Amino acid sequence: MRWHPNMHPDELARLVDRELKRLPAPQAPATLLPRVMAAVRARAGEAAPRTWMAWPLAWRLGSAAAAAVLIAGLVWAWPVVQSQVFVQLAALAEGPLFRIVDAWRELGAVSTAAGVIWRTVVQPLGWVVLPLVLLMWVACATFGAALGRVALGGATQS
Amino acid sequence: MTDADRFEAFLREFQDMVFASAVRLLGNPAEAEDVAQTVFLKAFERFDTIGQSPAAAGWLKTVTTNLCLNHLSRYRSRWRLFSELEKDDAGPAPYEAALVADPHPAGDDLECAADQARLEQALQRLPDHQRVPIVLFHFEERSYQDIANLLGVSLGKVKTDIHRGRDALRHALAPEHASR
Repeated sequence: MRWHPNMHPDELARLVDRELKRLPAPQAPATLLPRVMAAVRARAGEAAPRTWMAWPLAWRLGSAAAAAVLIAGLVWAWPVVQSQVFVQLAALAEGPLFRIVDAWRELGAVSTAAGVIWRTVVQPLGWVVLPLVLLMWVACATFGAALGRVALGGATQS
Repeated sequence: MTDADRFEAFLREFQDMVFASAVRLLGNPAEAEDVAQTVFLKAFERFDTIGQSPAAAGWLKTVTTNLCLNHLSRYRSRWRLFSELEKDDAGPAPYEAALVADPHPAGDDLECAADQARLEQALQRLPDHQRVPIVLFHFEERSYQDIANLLGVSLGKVKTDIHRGRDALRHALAPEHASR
């Protein structure tokens, strides 16, 4: 290098530029890669569970075998399971549970019929029948009062 | 090949570049490693976009520079007193020591390696306000105006700091000082 005390600024700028660019680039420490990868794996694990395709090969083979065994077992056992289910349902139909269910169904049917009658018959007539009943009640009361005054001559008041 | 595997290959390719930028800007290998880790975690978040991009190196350099400047402005002033005290007593940083202890050079190469180690050490000993613009100008090849914008200072201050930094390097490396 030709560093000397009385260099022209331009000469110094060129020398500094050349010498700095000749410096070997610092190498990343060996600890950087494992640190970053550990942080990346931790983040990736938090962000989303790995898909089945990203599982290790042994895990994929094991899980595929387990799924195959489960499906084969279900297919093989289905006729037995199906017949057992029907037997149990038939037993239930004769038992107390069936009677409770039947009563509940009847209650439901009655309430549904009552609701239908209320909506179709009572509600539409309500606005006509209610004033008519009130009017008749007032008329009966007036007629009763008049009859008492004329026929009995107010005897009850003396 | 999983995402993690592809990212590891990406990391192997660019880790030296990112670390070199960070350590020259910060002048401290431990802090540079922390910043490099943050840079790569940001890269991982956008790996779908930048993983295969030819602009990945430029993106990494820009993020490294910004994080280093952020780090310097946020943390360095707090620790300046201690770091200055340490610099008076401590030997060269680990990678500078590695340069000095390089077993391969012989003869002229040995002299050259020693000169390079002294230059690296002199660069790291510059105050932040001189080292950072010198690194941005000579290593990152940014213009004076670009550096002024990046640092939020005037163009004149950038030129003055770079000039004084070069002068400090010359002062540290001129023959009458080199023998000390």
